[in-house]
Amino acid sequence: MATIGAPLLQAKEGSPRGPLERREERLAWLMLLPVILALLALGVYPVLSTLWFSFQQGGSFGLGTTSAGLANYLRLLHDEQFWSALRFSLLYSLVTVCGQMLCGTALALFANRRFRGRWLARAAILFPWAIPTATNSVIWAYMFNDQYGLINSLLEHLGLLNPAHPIVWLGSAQLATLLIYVLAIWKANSLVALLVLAGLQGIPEEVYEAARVDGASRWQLLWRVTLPLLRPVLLVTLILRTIESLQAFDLISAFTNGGPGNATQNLGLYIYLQIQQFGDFGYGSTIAVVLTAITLLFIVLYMRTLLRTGTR
Amino acid sequence: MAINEDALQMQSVRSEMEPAAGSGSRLEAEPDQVSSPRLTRRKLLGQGVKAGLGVTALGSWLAACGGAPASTSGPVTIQFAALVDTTGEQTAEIKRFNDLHAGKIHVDYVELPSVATDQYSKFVNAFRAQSATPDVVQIDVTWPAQFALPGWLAPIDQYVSSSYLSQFWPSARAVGRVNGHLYGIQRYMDIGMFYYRTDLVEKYGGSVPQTREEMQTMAERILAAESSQGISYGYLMPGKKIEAIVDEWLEFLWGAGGSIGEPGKLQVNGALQVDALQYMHDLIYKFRLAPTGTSTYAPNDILALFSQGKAPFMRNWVFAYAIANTPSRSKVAGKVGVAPTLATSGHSGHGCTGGWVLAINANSQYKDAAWTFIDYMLSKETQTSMALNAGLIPSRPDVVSDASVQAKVPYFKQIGSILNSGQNRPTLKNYNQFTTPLQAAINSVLSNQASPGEALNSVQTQVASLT
Amino acid sequence: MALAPTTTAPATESSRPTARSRGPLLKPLTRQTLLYLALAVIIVVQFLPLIWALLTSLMTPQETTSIPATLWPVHPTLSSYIEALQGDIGRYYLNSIIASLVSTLVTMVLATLAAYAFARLRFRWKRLALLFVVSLSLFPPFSQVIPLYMMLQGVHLIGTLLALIIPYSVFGLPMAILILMAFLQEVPFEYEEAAALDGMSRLGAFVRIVLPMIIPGLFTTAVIVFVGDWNEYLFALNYTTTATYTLPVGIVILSQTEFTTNFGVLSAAMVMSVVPLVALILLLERRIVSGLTAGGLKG
Repeated sequence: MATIGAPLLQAKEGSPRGPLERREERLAWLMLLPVILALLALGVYPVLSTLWFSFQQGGSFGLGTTSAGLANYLRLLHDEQFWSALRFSLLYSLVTVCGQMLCGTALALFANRRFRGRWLARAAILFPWAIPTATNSVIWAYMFNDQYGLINSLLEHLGLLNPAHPIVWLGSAQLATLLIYVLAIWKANSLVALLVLAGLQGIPEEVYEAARVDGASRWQLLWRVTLPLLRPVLLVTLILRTIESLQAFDLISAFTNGGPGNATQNLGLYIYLQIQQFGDFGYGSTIAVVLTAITLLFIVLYMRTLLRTGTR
Repeated sequence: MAINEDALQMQSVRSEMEPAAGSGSRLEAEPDQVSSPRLTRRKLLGQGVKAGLGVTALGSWLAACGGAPASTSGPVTIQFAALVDTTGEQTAEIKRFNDLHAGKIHVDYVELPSVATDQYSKFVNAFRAQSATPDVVQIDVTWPAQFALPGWLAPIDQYVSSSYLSQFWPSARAVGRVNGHLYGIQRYMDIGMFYYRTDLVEKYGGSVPQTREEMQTMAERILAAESSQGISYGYLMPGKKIEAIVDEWLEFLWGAGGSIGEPGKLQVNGALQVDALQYMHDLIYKFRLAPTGTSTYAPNDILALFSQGKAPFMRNWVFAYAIANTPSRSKVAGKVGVAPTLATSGHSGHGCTGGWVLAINANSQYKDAAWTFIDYMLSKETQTSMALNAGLIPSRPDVVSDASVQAKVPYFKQIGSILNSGQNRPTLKNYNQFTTPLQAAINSVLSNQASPGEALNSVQTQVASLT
Repeated sequence: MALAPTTTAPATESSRPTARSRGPLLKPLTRQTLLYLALAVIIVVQFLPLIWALLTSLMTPQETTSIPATLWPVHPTLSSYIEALQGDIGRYYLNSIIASLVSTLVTMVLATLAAYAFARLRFRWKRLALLFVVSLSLFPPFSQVIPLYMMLQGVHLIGTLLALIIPYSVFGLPMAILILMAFLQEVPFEYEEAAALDGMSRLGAFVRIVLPMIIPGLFTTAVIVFVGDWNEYLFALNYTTTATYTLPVGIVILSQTEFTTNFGVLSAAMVMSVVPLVALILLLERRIVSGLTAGGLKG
C-alpha cells in the first residue's frame, strides 16, 4: 500500500516519455494548478515576509527595521524563555499527540462496533471538537476554578475534598500542565477518531473473514489486520496532529495564558507575544522560523520511521 | 438590575437638564433606546466594504450580508471603535449623537471584544496598514504613547483650549500627552480601591483600615470571630497573570512611599519593590488572609467571593462597586464601602489609575467630525448619562460632584479624593514589554514558585532601559 | 465522516443486529454490559463540559458563580438564552455559516483535484510540488496575521467576510490534500484500469469511479475542514468587524466585559453554537453519505 509520504521521500518518479504519459502529466498539472496558484497568491508572501523579518531587527511592528544578520538567531541561544517555551512545546506535542492517537483510535474502534445507541458514541466523538477552542478553554477554566468551579464542587459532594482547602488547579505549574494535556487530548481525539473511523470503512470485510478462518483472535485481528491497513490514515493523522500541536495557541492562551508564571507558555504564545504585543517582528519571526523547522523535522522523522516499518 | 432602576432615575435627571441642553424632543425617545442594547443591522456599515467588492459576484453578495456600502454623498460617516458595553448606554449615547447631527455626521459603533490584548491587536493591525478607519478609537490609558509615537494618532491640540482641558481630572488630561502634544482625553476613569464591609468594620473597631497593619489586625479579628458566619478569608486581591497584578503591586509599592522611577531608568527590584511583592506573597502564605487560589483570580473571581460574604476586604476596580451593591447579585449589597488602597504607616495609599481614552486615528479622513463626536462624548450631559446608566466614573469632576448624581451614586462623594490621590502607570512606548514580564514574575511569586527578589531581579534587566 | 455506518452494516437502526445475535447467551450479555459501561464512560467524559454548560446556561447570574458551585440550577431561567439572542448571536451564526461553508466548498473542490493528481497520477516534480504544498502549512498562522492583513487591506477586503473566506479556503488546502490522499490510496488501482479498458478517460474514471468510492472520506475531510474554519479565532478577530464577526469572536463579545465574564451567556452561546452543528453533521451523514456510499459501491 502506498503511503502519502511516498512521493515525498522516493525520488524515483521516472520521466514520462510517451504520449499517454505526457497526457497524464498534463492532466496532473491541470488538476494541481488551482491549488498552486492559490497558495502562491496567498501563502507565499506571508512566509517570505516571516523569513525576511527573521533577519531584521529594531523598529516597531515591522516598521523601520534594519538588517540584523544572524543576530536574532543568536539571541535565541541566550533566551531562557525561548528554551522553556520550546521544552513545553515539545513535551506538549509528544504527550498530547500520543494521547490523541491512542484515545482517538480507541474511540473509533469502539464507535465502529454495531450496537444500539451507537449514534451517541458518534455524537460523543464530534462534540469536543465542534466547540470553538477559545470558548472551550474558558469553560474549562470555569470548571476548574477552585472556588466556584464544577470539579471541586463535585469532589466536595463526593466527600473527597474539604471545602476549606480547595484544590487550586491552575495555580501550580505541574497541575496546570497536566490539565492542559488533558484538555488538549480531550479536544482533539475527535479528529483522530473521525479519520480512523473513515479509514476503517475502507477495510473490506473479506480481509477479516480470511483472518478469522485462520483462527486469529480479536487482538490479533486488531494488531495484524486493522492497524496495518490503517497505516496511511494513521500517518496522515499523526502528521496533522503534530503540526497543530506545535502550533497550539487558542487552547492555552484562553486557559492559562501561559501561567502560572511562564510555566505553560509554549512557542505559539511566545511568538504571538513578540509579534502582536511587543511589535518585535524580527525576533517573533525568528522563533516562527525555528518552530517551522522543528515541525518539518518531526514530520520527516515520522515518515521515515513509519515508511521503514511498513513497505509493501 | 440596578441599571434599569438607574435608567428610570435618569429620566428625572434628564428632565432637569433639558432646558439647558435645549433638546427636549430628542430626549423623548430615550427610554426605548436604553432598553435596546444594540444597533440594528442597517446601521452597521462594515469597514472596507466600500471598495473592492465588485471583484466577484460572491463578493457583492457577501457585502450585502455585511451591510450596505457607505454612500459618498450625504452625511459623513465615522467609525467609533470601543470595547463592548453590555449596558446599552454606549449605543444610546451614539444614537443621541446621530439624531443630533442627522444629515451631517453619522457614527458607526464598532464593538470590540473586551479582552484588552484582542483590542490592542486589532488597533495595531489597522494603524499599521494605514487604515482610515476606525476614525475615533477608545484606547486603554497605557496605550496613547504606544500609538502616538509611531504616528498612528492625530494630535488634538488645535481642538482644545486650556480652559476646555481644565474641565477634566488632571490625570485624565495628562494621560494623552506625549512629547508635548495632546493625543487624547480620558472618557472614563478607573482606579484601584480598597473595598470593605461597612457592617464588619463598624463591629470590629469602627475606623476604616488605612495601613497594611490596621487591615491585618482587623482582618484577623474578623476571620477569627466570623468564620461561622461564612467569612473564610481576610483580604482578596487579583493574582492572575493579567495587568491587574502589576497595578496591585504598584499600589503596595506607592503606599509604602516607593516608586519605580522614570522611563529609561525604571527600577523594579529595589528594597521597597521587593518588599511590596513579599507582602503580597505573605498575605497568602504567611498571614493566610488571602486565598491560596489568589494566583488564579481575576477581578471578577474575587468579586464573587466578596459579594458572597466570604471576606471583609478586597482590592478591586470601580466596576465591582455596582455589582457588590446590587441585591440580586450580592449578599452584601448596601454593606460595601470604598477607601484608598492600603499604605504603610506614615504614608498614604495611592490607587492605580485606569480607564479609557478617546483619540483620533491619524489617517482618519474626517478628523473634525471625529472631534465633534469626542467633544460630545466628553460633554457634561453625556458623561452624566454614562455615570448613571453604565456605572462608570466620568472624567469630569463637575459630574462627579453634582449633587443630583451623587444622590444616585453615593460613593461619588468619596471617589473625588480617591481619584485625586491616584497615580498613573509609567507612560511607555513599550508598555507591553514592561508589564508582560512583570505579570509573569509577580504571578510566579503569588503561585509560590519563585522568591520576590529573584523574580524581580530577572525582570529588571528586561525593563530597565524601556522608554 | 466516518460516522457513516460500515459498508456491511444495514443502514437503518431497527434492522441493525446487536452483539447479542452471535455466540452463547451469557457471555454476550456481560460483554454487552461492558460495552454500555464503556459507552457511559465515554459519554460522561466527552460530554461533561457540554452538560455543565447546559446546566450553567439555565442558572441565574448569581448561581453561576456560587461558592461552592451549585450542581443544579435552583431557579432555572432562560434569561441567558434570551440575552444571547438579543445580542447578535444570530448574525454571528450566519457569518460563521457563510464563511465556513463557502471556504469548505472551495477547499474541497481544489483539494480533491490536487489530491487525485498527487495520489494517482505520475508526473515530474511531484515531490517538489507536494513539498511546496505541505511546507506552507508548517508556518504557524499567528506569525502570518499581519502580513495577511496587509494583503487583504490592499484589496479593501478587511471587514468583509471575504477576508475570512479567502484565507480559510487557501490555508485549509494542505491539510485537506493530505487527508484526501490517504483515502484515495485505499482505492485499488484495478477499478481505474477496468474503466480505462472500457474506454473511459482518466478524468471520467476519477469522477465516476473513484470519487463515489471515497465519499465517506470526502465527507470526513469536509467536516474536518468545516469545523476547523468554524472554530478559527485569530483571523476572525483581526479581519472582521461588527457586522462580520463570527461565532468564536461573537461569543467573547456576548459574554465578556472588561472585568466580568457572564458564564450563563457564555454557556448558552456555546450550547446554541455546538448542538445544531453536531446534529446537522449527524443528520447529513445518515441521510446523504450512507445513501451515496451504498449507491456508489453498487454502481
